[in-house]
Amino acid sequence: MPPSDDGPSLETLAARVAETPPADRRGPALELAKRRLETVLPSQSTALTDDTIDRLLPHLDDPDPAVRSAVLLVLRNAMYLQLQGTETALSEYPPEALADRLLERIDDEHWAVRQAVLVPRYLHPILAATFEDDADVDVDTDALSASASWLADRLFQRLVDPVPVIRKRTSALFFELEDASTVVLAHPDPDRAVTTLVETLTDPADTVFNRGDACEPRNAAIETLVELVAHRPGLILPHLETMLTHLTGDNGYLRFQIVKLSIGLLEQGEIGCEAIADDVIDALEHGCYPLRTAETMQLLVSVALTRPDVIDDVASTLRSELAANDSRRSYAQHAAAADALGRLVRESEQSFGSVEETVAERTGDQSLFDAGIDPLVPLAEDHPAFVADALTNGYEALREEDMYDGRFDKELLVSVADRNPAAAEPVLADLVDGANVHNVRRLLANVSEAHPTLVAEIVPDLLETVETTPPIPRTVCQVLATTAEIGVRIPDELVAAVTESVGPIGNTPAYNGNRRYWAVRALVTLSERNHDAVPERIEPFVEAYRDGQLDDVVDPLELPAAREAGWEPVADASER
Amino acid sequence: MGHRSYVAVELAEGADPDPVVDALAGDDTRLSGADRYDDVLTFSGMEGPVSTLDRLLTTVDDALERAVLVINHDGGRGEMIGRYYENGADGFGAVEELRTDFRWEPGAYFDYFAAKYGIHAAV
Repeated sequence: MPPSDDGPSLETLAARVAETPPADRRGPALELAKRRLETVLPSQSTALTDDTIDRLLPHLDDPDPAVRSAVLLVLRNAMYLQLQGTETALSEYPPEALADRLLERIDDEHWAVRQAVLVPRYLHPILAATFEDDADVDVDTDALSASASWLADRLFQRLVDPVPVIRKRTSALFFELEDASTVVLAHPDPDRAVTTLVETLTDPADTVFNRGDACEPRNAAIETLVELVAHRPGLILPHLETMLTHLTGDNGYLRFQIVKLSIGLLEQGEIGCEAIADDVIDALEHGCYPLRTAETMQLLVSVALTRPDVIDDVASTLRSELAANDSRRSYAQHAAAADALGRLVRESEQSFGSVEETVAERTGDQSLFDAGIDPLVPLAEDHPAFVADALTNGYEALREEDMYDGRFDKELLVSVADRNPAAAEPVLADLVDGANVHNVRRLLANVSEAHPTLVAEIVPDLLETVETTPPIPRTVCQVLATTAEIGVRIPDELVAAVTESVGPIGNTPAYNGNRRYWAVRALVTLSERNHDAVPERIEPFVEAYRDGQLDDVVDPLELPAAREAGWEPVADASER
Repeated sequence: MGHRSYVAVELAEGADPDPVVDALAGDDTRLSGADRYDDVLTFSGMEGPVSTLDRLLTTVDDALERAVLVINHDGGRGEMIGRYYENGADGFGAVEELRTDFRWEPGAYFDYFAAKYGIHAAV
């Protein structure tokens, strides 16, 4: 419902603010602000007219901070609507003029007023136009009185405001810019601005989860510093030592960004490896060096090549990393670790273990990371035990039920088995005692299609572990179907249970059609191998399978031949 | 997308902040915090709807002088609700509510409550 139906209009409320004596102005000003806040959309209310805006503007300097804040809430919204080019806006007021008046309050003596100026949604377009010449933003910077230098100075003051939320909002404004280092460069004293950023790295303000509204000042500060490296690395150099002390701090994101910044300085030739070596090694020894990306791992190698005493540590770190389970990352850290280790071995004069030597050989001609090759696959040939250990650790997570895909998926195990079955055998032998977990069974079933002989060896153990009362799980039937061809002996009772699993059973969950298909497939294979316990009534399925009428999207009980042979159809739709 | 909520609570004089942090940002809630400034603790997270936040505040109302919560409800075009609470003569309860029937800028509501009641914002 339009608000004009159940209350006075914005115009009326604004007029009241102007008419009320200063001592009583707070009430109507807050009423106006509330009305504006609850009716933000242009369709819900009209924008303010020029006259109303003119009437409200003087109250940005009202002696009462509550009035200043309230009026600011209303006028910043008017500026926003003007910037959006909202068709229903009644005002012709240039947004730049409004922006100037609002920005005058950015260092108001009352925190609530400063806070109200610094809302990213409203202020970002002004900053984008001022500092980045953003063509998408419809702000005429020539019409703004506030210069880039003036505004940069004020933003840096707010970055160290005593009120945390003001610092967080200011940080969000930095974050929203394409490249916030432009604010540093516009600052009347860029050195001082950089000092402020470095000090902000220790700002404890925390717990914000939406960077659009507010963000952690230390994160905005480090990102700005990293961006600055490309433009004015000289501004950073005097602070490098201070920043490097954070490499052993407990903030992982900060550690990573500082390494990134160091890499930038190295690439530009501003510093040499020795400038950061001690701090990098310190972080490594504390177990908190950020491996994260190919670049950070390569930096570690560059440092190690200048410091032979740490080569062993770096090699063993990278070796564990290439074998570790990084499935929860979107980035193939393990392949980057192999590339880095390979380079270390090739470029160092020291001798290494045989796994390391193989990594060096396999990464000499190509980057495994670029080629998308998991290092465990090329290693399987010469180091089956190392690979089997890594895989056993990696697939352990499958028992947790909560994950399946990632690095340790079906393809990896199949590719390793393709290279060298001896590297996969111990993995399967270890996994089978977890086969009561669906994800583990699913992996075994998938691998059994490519490597039935390998999986056949663990079938007796599998049958010890899984429940063998009907319905037999689809994945177990799948393993039986693929391995029966190898000649694994299946007990008669199990064949009976599989046969029973073809029929509709109780109120079992979805995918029953698929489960029935795999039960039938297992029986078909067993029948082809003349298993005594396969009953005659599965004959129609054997024929259907031979005729190509059965595949894993067909529910066997839906086949006409099944009906004729006396199999009960699935009565209830929920059973399908 | 889930609810997005922000809470600022002002501790009563001499109140112990630990139980408040436990109640609002413990293992049973989807809020994190607290960040502290003066006597105000701030939290944010995916907790909701507004009735749940209201109940969470009530469990520790003895320790609270005042509070503001702002939530953007999930679903459709959303809805933003802001509430200001005080521990008054009738006990702890909401004194004023703001409501916008779509998702919007939570800071805008905090700014209003800051102007009117002088309470710090969570975002």
